[in-house]
Amino acid sequence: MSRQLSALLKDKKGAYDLIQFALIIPIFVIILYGSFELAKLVSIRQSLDAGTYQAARYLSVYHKFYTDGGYNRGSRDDALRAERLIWESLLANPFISRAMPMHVMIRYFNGAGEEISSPVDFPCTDIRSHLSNPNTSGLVFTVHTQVTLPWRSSVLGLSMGNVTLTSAHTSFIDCGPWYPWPAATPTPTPTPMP
Amino acid sequence: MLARLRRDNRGASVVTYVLILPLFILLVFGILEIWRVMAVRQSLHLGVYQAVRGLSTEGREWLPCSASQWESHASQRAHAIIDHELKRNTLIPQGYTLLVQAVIEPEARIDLTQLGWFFTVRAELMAPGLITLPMLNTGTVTLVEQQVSYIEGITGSWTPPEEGPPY
Repeated sequence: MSRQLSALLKDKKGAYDLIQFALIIPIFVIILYGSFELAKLVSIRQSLDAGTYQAARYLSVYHKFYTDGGYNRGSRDDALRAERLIWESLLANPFISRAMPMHVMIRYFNGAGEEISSPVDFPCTDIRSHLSNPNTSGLVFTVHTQVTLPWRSSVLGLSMGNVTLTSAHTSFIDCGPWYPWPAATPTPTPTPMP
Repeated sequence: MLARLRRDNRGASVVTYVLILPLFILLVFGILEIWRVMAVRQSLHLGVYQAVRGLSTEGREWLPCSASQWESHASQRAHAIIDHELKRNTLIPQGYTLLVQAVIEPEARIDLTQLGWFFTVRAELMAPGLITLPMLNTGTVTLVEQQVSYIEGITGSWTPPEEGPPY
């Protein structure tokens, strides 16, 4: 018995293979499950991007200016609806559950890159300056979304901290057909021929 | 004879190779099948987006009507658009089933005479034999895609601003 055991202990055949296998397995598992996690993140990122696009399109197409004492502004509902589109797109993703502690930040920027409260509230001031230089106008806006969600590795349930995904889409708000531009050229009054 | 066979270890690497080969084949073909499913999924996504986008601007042609009437019109139109998009993808095997449902949000179902409402287009693609792997029967693959958009009604509380410059 003890002779057999000592023979087994002295036996080095297969030891290198076993050690090699043990060294490779964690790397293999990490690559396998890491690719699943990556696919999940890409899917969530895709949903976020689709939602941001829908919100920018909504604000561009359905934006309405209401006359408010000489200053036209959009409805407050417009921003709420745009943000609802982002949420609907995110919640339609099967990898996102309503129980997940997810933090969504939606910000708006004007054409100059300054943050604005929401694109429904900026005045339609100067369409001519926009057409000559798009960077100086208030008519171009960007919807910037950022989602922070906890990243749990599915292999051991390990918490890997938070992961942040961002998306941005730029669009354009038209001031509407009532804006008198280009200015109507006055018809020349016919001068009576002498 | 048997003792000689036991001592003979030539060809051991061939045995390992034969053991690994099915796994390797499964890996290679599995990657191809995943690629195919992702291409079909992308087609479905594009089709649903086009349906939602089209209904968002052209869906007013059936108004005024009831919510269920609008939904049935919109579902038929969305089905046609998505099916057309799927037909362009040659990776989808014949004999798939496509179920499309356009649903108006519950708050707007009472009357469609408001400023606008949200609607959802949900498409379910059931494709038998989408994944074909040797020695494995994966059955019917179901892909689901759902997108939300907004449509303006024909009447609403909005009135155009007064004439003149807006500021």
